[in-house]
Amino acid sequence: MSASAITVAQLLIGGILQGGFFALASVGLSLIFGVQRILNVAHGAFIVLASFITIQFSILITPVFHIDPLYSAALDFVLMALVGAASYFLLIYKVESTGFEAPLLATFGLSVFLEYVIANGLRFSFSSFHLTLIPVLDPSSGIGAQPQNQVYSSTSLLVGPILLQEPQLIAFIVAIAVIPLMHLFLTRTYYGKAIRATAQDWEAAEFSGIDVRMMRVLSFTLGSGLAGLAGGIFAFTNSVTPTTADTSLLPIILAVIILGGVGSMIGTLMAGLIVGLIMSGSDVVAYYVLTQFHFPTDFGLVLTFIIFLIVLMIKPTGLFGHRLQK
Amino acid sequence: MSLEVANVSASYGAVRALWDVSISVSQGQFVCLVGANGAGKSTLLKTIVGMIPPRSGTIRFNGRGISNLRTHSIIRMGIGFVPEGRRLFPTLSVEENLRMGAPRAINNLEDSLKKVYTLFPVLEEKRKQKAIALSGGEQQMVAIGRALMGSPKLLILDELSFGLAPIIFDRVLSTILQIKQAGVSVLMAEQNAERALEVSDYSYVMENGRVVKHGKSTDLIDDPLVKEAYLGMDE
Repeated sequence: MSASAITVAQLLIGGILQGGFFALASVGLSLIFGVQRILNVAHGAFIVLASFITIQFSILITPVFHIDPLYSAALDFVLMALVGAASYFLLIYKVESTGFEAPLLATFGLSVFLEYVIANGLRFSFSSFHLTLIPVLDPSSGIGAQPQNQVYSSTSLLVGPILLQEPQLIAFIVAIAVIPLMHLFLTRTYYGKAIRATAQDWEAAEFSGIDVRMMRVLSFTLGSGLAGLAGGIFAFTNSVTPTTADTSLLPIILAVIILGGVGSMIGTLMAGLIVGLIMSGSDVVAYYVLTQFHFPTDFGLVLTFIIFLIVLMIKPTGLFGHRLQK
Repeated sequence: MSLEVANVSASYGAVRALWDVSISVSQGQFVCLVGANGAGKSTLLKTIVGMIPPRSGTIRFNGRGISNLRTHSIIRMGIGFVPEGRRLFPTLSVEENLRMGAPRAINNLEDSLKKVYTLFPVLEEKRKQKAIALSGGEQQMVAIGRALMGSPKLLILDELSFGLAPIIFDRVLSTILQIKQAGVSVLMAEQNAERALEVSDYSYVMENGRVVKHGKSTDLIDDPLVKEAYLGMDE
């Protein structure tokens, strides 16, 4: 293979691996949106919060107890599931019956709050008395942080001429494993089916004797937990800042969800991979073609969204989506 | 089994939809609500199962006040509800739709399923198909079957005839009579007043959110006012 062919192959494989992460990052929100018609715009902030928990874990826990920071992704799942359940009961539950706008604004507010807490912590001072409820989570104060772990941050595998970053590979494998599990949960278990029934017609679900509120709590908790898992893994592959959620995560997640069809797990997986491929493909195009015409090289993201908009114009329900029930 | 609705008023959005309505269903009875579209029949049924909160009045099922319970809890007390328009879960299979009607982990779930399939053999043949792929009559069977899965003591039916050809509606009605023979009480709202009065024991005539007349169905069928207003037969 020529050098440029290897570069292209490298970029595309990187795109697929990155796409696995996109799918994992989106699957929880797809579940929540599918069941509750609530667009939880704090989903990105949940992911970033989990990332910073993993980064703090790698700084505080790993050197003392010699626990691989990768395991903290499980902790992230549990913690963010709890954060999700708490935000459901304290915030979303109170406003969800009022329509689409109030929950959207509520989760937007939550997102702003979380980003503030990550960057600044939650501290109170009364003259000489200082109380820190939550410490500053961002150890580099906004420059971007990665887990302090030599094992992952630099290891890579050489498969033929292709270089695979180990953290990206791990993220990909977790995504590929978790999403089919979610699909099995939704299609094979009572609770999974009851969640789908609630998503399709919540009134009919209540008429059938299904506790709709419980299904909503369950899906919101599970969806938030999945954001935590994605966040834990995100910390290994990207540098994270408190505003990463708004600047790069949320737009991509929304693109994946809409492309994959709301509430479809396998659709989300496929859409994640496709978006990953399109983004890296766009980078290739941007690098080789657009630079000739003096486009900026980071035009790839813009190209991604142009492709996404074209897909929506042609197939408004997304590539794998069904028409939504009213 | 007993259902007592006493002096219930309810609003639907800003509109007052029920005014001081009282009805009752006793064990083994087949009770019908008849009246024009918008008379409040559907609102009354939804109020009974807690989907619309009553503004005043009491609703008792087996002697217990249920007006502050949530719908699924009321259903689980032994009420089967077949909503207007059937409201199946479109991408779930026939059997999955039926299973959604049973509370989780009841031990006689397979028995309930068998009973439904005995009542509607065609559903067993099509049990793997998605609900959305069925004909209107078959969908109505699934909706009734789903309501029967929890072994209800009272079956509430909202506009069974909705979207069904008359001959299919008749067939569905005869199945309902079969279910009634098995000891299940029935409360049915129906626009097709003639058939409703023929099959039921007792009926309430509703108009503008009020009960304007009630009595044995056989008596109401011969009532000149009812004939004129709802049966389209002048004398």
